[in-house]
Amino acid sequence: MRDTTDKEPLLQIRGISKAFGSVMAVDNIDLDIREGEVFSLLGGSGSGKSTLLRMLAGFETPTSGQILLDGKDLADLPPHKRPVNMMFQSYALFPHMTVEKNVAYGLVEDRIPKSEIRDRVSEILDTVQMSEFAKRKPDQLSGGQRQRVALARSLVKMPRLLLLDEPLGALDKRLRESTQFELQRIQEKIGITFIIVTHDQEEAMSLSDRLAVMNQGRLMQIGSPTDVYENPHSRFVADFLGSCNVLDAEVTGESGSETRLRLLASGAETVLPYALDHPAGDKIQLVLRPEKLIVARREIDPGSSGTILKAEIAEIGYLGHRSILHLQMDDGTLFHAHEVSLNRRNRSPLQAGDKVNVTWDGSDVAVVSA
Amino acid sequence: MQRNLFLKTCFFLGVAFLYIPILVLITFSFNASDKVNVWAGFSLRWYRSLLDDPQILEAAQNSFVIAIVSATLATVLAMIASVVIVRFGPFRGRTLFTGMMSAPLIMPEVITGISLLLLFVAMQQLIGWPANRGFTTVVLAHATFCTAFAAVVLQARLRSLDSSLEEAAADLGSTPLRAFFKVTLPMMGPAMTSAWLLSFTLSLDDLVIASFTTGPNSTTLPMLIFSKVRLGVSPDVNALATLIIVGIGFAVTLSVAAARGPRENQE
Repeated sequence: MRDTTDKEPLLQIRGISKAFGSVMAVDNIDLDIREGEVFSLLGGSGSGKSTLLRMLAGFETPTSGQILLDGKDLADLPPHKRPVNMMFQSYALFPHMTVEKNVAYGLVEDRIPKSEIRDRVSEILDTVQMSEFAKRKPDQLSGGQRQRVALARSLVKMPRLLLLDEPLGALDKRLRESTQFELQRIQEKIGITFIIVTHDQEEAMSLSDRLAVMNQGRLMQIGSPTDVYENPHSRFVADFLGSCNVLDAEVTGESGSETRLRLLASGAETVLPYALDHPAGDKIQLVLRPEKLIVARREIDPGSSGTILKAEIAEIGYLGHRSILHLQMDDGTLFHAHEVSLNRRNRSPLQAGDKVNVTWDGSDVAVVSA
Repeated sequence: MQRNLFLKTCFFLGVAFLYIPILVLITFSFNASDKVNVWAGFSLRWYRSLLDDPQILEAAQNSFVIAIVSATLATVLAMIASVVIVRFGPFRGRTLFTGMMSAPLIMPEVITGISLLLLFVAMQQLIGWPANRGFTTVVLAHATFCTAFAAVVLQARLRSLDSSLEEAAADLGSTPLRAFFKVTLPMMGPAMTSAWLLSFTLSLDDLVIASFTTGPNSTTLPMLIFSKVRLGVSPDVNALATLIIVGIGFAVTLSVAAARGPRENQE
């Protein structure tokens, strides 16, 4: 990952809101995007992520707030005058033009000399590996090829900012993975700042330097993928980025850099190896990712959490690279845990019905407010 | 099996009901006899007499020129109206405008004709234009009611056209007007052809509105046929009608093909 923290923000979004009737699609958002960064807006449908993107492109007018690009307010610029390009979810390739004409469209509109247009178009088609299809019409291309043409068309003008609306959304799963790396390669080569809108958390995490989780028009959390995944500030973010086990707990005491908790479901004691700014008696929620749980049939050492819970395996979902364990805890709650398939011939794989011990490391627990 | 037979019978009766009169007309246009309803052998004499009749040729020419000009006017106006209705978002009076656009579809032709006649007479008295009724007034009248029909076709197509194409054009630096001419219009081509042919056929076909709004020296083909029939049916009208049926059939086929063309290309 590149370090981009010391640069001036390229894009500054200041208190932006958009109301459709009485519905706030985007609700008072502040956000800085740094030059050269890949930033993802992650959210479900109706979270306002697309509206925010369309305001950046100029297709929607903000109800209030400011958008500054390189310090200049974009408010009065119509879409065709903004140094911003967009790659549409449907690709929006012009069906009556060849690939070449599609890619050249933006340069022709800018009255660039013909010879320069030819050079730039062939160079960008080369970058996205579509040179041999230059004379084809969009309806003669596969989904993946159309996606590349759409990318080329939005990149060829060298915008200050490229907006990508669900760039991989229309591709099938296998193509999506290879295209993801392809997109990263191209971004690194060209160095244009990307803002990606997506509902797919894997896409957002693997592509971006930073991401923001959106819900109901608000930014729930902004940070690097690791930061947001490992330290969710809210139950919503924790749930949205992958699955998680949520445990209700009560703070029972603090000693130095440790916090002692009591799990409400089982009454078991557990320890966090860091201090919380919650006084004793406060109810909080602990978030435990399924892959952080240690599950075994034999007796195990409790991790730094000092907690061992008893469970029975209710069900096992085998996915090849890992298995998902559904654990019926003795306290009545349900847990999910992941077991990675490390060895091809596991001598004693866990089976449904097995009685197991469950523990975790205290430092793997994230705390969200109840 | 029995149900199948019943369906087939219904189908053939229906088709017969619709097309036997036309077949009779076409058949008798090749009749050698002077009497309309007595078959006396095959002949092309009525087609020949048609070509020798300067009145008919003039009326045919009038009809064609009027149809071409008014169809063109109607298509352009309908295109502008459709863009306003479909793409300009909600504005004050949009529902009213949409309704008024399609009102001529259900308006009785007699009323359209009379109201246009009154308008032209009033305009002539007030501003002296149009000086007399004839070619210009018929074209204006036909363009008016054809616009409503053309707008139906064009609105439907424009609605199904992905608006992100126009947004993409704007995003890549096109002003709204350039985006319209470079992206929207080429994609609307087949629908516009279809709308034009529909308007052309409607104009060629119209008797009522033309009768109200025309003047001397601008008799259209349907008007001529109607006046001929009133003096007693003469067999050359059969020949003329046959030619019109063939012509309109051709135009309708073209129009259907134009409307279907782009969808087949997409697959």
